Amino acid sequence: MGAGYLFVAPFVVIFAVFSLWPDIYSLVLSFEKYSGYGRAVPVGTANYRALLGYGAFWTQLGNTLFYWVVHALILIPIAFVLAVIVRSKLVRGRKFWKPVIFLPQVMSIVAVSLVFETLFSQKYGVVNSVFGTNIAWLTNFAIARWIVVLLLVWQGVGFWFVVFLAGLTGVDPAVEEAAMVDGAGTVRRTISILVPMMKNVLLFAVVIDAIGSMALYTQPNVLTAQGGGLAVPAVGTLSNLVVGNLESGTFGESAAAGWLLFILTILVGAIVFGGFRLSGGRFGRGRQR
Amino acid sequence: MTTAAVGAVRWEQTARSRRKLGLVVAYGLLVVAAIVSIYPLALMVINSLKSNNQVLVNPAGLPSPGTLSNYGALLSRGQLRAFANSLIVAASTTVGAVFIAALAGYSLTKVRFPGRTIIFICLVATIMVPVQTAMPGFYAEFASLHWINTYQIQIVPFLAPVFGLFMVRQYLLGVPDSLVEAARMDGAGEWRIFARVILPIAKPALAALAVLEFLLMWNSYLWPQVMASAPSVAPLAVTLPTLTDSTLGIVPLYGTIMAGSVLATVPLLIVFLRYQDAFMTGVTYGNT
Repeated sequence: MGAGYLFVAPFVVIFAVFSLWPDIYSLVLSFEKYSGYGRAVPVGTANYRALLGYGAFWTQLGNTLFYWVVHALILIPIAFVLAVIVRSKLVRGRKFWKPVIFLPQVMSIVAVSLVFETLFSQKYGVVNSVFGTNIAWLTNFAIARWIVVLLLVWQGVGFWFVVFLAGLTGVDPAVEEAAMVDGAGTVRRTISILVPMMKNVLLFAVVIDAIGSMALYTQPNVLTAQGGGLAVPAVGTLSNLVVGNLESGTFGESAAAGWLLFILTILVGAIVFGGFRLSGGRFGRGRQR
Repeated sequence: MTTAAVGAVRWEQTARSRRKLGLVVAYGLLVVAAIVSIYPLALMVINSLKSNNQVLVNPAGLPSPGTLSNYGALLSRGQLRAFANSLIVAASTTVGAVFIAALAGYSLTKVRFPGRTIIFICLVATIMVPVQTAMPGFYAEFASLHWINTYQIQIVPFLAPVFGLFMVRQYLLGVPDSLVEAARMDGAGEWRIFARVILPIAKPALAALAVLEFLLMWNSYLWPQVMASAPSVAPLAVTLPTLTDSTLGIVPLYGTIMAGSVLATVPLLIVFLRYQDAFMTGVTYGNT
């Protein structure tokens, strides 16, 4: 019995001191004015009100949600179709396709963001050079947001693909093959048969992906801001408000932004989970009929 | 031939040609996916072999002439140190986190003591908290303890990964208690059971966790950028984007940056090629 406490103690102590306590201390700071030294002054909800009255907050909240929803909507069908194809007995070389499609997951995120910067740079980029265009892919922020999505999709397909592939092992391969050889129109039918069968796998992946997407930071910043700086609010995410305020020594607003991000994560997680339960009910009725 | 027979032959022909079409489409999609997957990696390597000017003038073509000057520039710009920092931080966090999570996982599944379920529930309840939430409080607290710009600020906070504990626990729940009970009957102490019975049994889960942890640590950018950006301790992920040509304003040195990106990708590729299965089961562990 003593060993039980002893063995779990390192984990619990490290977690409490280095995660739980800082979270709580952030909550305290979010109601204070503190510049990193000197005394912290209680200010009530002023930090939260300041953030919510700040146009950049809403822009970056919108960007965070945009990146999440759009990248997931594009990712799911691509990864799903690829998994169905690779899983099929008609297609050979599964041991080759699987790691190749997974490959982007294995590249350093900062490195691939920098590679995408060289692809889409206006003056010196590969895309403009090859097609003879002069499009401001990264400096026209309306376009840049889509390049961020492209990067997220490119990077994420491997993850979803492997998740779906693992999920499909529980399904009779004949189901997909029958649909696949039937031609293009039946891709939809494949999905309408397989998706209900893989509901739990999907739920897991979608929830994890949604939670992770709320904390998105690296890609938009490395891709659109040079020299390791912060992206402008037009392409930045909510995380930038935490970092930006920390760097400028406004700890209270930084902490308030951190807690708003946490609340957003819970809300989005709950909505996705709830949404799935609802559509799950529909699948269930469909099967009964 | 009867009309029925003709119909059957036609049907078979359409079925066969549809099957062929299906295969063509399937392989076509896979080839496109493979090219899209590999191209950025290839571009990274190719452009790392061009001078910085050549990358600007000829971003898409092959290097002519090829040069290794970018790799030399990484040396002179202190990027080897950054690479070593990345390795030190990622490797030591991985070893420590896997050990601590395994120890805790064993305790929470195979040793009976009051409160073990509550401890687990409390830990899992926090899984939705992003690292950003802790950052301001963490910075305020640990700046006064002189932890900013150290290795430990990059390592210690990540030694208790809740998702890792979750993975180990799920795995050990599937291991029969009788194995542990038998060892206890034989008079083995808890530590001995953990080291001799649990660690070997849990190896697949621990390998998957190790690979995932290494990947996460190697990719960490936000935390070290804020907490440890001094060149003596900063990882490669933080220093790479800052490689700019100061004489040309902030024009990035793309050739050198690509060489650094190659350097940043090689360890992940090695881990991936060596532990491919653990790598790919790691990402799907939560649902198996």
